[in-house]
Amino acid sequence: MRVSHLQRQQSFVRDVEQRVYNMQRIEQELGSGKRIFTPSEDVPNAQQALQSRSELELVQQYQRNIENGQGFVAAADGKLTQIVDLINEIDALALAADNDHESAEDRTFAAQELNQKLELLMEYANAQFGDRYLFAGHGTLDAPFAATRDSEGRIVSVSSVSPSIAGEIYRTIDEDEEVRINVTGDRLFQPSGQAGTSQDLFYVVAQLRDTIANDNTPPEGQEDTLSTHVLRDNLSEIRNRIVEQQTYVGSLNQRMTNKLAELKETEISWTDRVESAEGVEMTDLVSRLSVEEGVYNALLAIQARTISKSLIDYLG
Amino acid sequence: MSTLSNILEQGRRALQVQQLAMQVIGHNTTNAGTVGFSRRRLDLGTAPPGETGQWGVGSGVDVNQLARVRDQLLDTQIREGTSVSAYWTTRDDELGRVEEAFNAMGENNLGALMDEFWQGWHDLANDPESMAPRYALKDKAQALVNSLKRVNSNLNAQIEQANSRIAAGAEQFNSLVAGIAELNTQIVNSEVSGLEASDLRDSRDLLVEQLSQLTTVTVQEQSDGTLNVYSGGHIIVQGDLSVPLNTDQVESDPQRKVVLRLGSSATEWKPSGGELGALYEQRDAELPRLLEKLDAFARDFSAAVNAVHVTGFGLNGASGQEFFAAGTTGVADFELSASIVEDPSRISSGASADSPGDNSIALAIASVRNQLGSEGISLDEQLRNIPLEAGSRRASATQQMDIENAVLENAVNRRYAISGVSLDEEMAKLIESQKAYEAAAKIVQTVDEMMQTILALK
Repeated sequence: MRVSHLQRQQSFVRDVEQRVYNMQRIEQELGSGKRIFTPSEDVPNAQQALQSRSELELVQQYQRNIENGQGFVAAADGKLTQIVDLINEIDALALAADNDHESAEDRTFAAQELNQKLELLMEYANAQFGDRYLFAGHGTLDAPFAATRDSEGRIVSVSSVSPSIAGEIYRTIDEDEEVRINVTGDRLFQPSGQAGTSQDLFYVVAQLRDTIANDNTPPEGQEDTLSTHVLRDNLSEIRNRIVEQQTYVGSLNQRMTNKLAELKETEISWTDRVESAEGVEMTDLVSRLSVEEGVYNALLAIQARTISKSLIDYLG
Repeated sequence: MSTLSNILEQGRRALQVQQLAMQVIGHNTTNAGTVGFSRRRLDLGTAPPGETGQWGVGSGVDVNQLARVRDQLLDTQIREGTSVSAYWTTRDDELGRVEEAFNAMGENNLGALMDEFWQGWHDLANDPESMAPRYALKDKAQALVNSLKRVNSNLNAQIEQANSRIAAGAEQFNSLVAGIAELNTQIVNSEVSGLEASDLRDSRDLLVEQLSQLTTVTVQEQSDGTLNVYSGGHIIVQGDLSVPLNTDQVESDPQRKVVLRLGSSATEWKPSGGELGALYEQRDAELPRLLEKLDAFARDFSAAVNAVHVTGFGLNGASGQEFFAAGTTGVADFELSASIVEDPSRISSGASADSPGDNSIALAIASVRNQLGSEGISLDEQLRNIPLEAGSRRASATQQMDIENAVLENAVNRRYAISGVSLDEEMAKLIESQKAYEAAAKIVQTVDEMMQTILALK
């Protein structure tokens, strides 16, 4: 087999260029920590990397959604606990005042205390998380409830201000998984269309206050609806309704905590997939670089011995 | 009877032949690095016996042939391989530029910007009462629009560059065919005069190979030594005549497409194979297909987002607003709605007015990412698949290029082995010729001495 001068020269240049390219490529991979720079280099893994990156972003977004919602839910949970406690206190006051041994003066004091409790209840109903009203439905920027007061400043009735008090707020916490993070004011205090009824917490407390203030005597003809005993039954029903919401919020809080933990694991899994699709194995790269350097040096050494030598060197 | 004059003539001829041999060696040696050069081989033979009497010893050495060492079959193979290799190399380069335009694996690629766009809706859903996520969402949407436009503009620029390169290729084509025709003339003139035309033939073969890099060509050598060159069934060089390529621009085409016409022909000439074939393929098929996919995405995406957005209410109570400019037909007119740009409080987040905490529309738009587009896949996937498809096509082109380059390289190496100059071989020949020359000179010297001896007889 003849080997021509040009063949040797071009073959040498090609080999050297290939080795230099290989080393430069390894350096690029080492520097970036990635082994795919364009999809054409490895289409299946590029596709997996891009999809995994997107899924990773989504999982991180779900976590942010949960973390954002958790504050709201925790605030509602805390406030509901306070409301239930307050209802219990109201019920205890009513129970005491309902006792035949209570004097009219004691009942007046109880009524005053109940009035304070009603004010506190009003405050709780308009509670805020940051600048958002917790129980305002979609009308989060306005206090959901407004009180009508008598000449002495006592609350006579309470009505919902926001037309969207029943609005539910959702967070997306996973693929096709949305959760309601708010408890609407109507569910708690005043079911829609039932203001001024036995389902209206403000109404029940105000009537309790007034009945007890009136020495535990309901207005004439309304004994069946406004006696302390009946009102306490109403209060009990309302408390059960609120506890039901509190249970929802409590379990939601737990669900979100669990989901967050699950998403963190999923995040690790997607991170691994991104890494496995486009990441580099440092040990492998360093050893490859070492091999390439060795081959490159050997190539130069061989060429130094052969390409410069020809019969010309031995003539004369 | 052998005469001293016969011997002297033998010596003289041997000296001339060895001088010629050294000249050939010198020519070969000095062209050892010349691309396209074919080594020369001097075939020596015995000179026919003259009037040398009954013994017929012979009259020394003579030149049988000064041959250009070349394998015509290999030339054909290399010419075809050059065209195929150039086609795939150009396809690979051009698809590489497409990949660069998409920057699919880099930061802030289209897919990443798309993810950020959807995140913007989630962030708005988390805080629908505020302006901050609206400003952020507007910026993210604008970044996505800008990036799509940048890719679109880059691909359109590649079409324009392909036009320029096709026009430049046509000029090169014309220069090459004119050069081949000119060399045809010179070769005929040279060989008719009995002169050696190997160098001219080398130059012509080199031009034909350069031409085959531009497009697929076939050749046919004529009895007078001229070469006819054909491409796509048309003759482009015949003897001293060449047919030039003319370029026209299609005025009605927005990118003023360059078309080629052979000679005075009115019909378009479409090159097959070679760089020009690949540029045509890229310009007329590959890039338009990708641009149409981008347009389809812009249409599907803006329509899907708008369909939900118009049903919602902004923070300012506005409803019926488009998020993207209505009636998007492609990336060219894909824009954010002017009213949204002017006042991001018009971005819808809720389904009813006066409900600042309502995030149902923002959530609905965030889930549009999974909505199926015109290709029957999710919008996310539709966008992600465009650069992946380009990548897949390039991977295939790279693979094909590697195969064709390897085939060509083997053929070229075989030609180097046959036609290339080996310095070792030439030096060995040099020594051989030198020694032969010295021997011939010795013969002349000896005959001279013999003549002196004879002349000195008294």
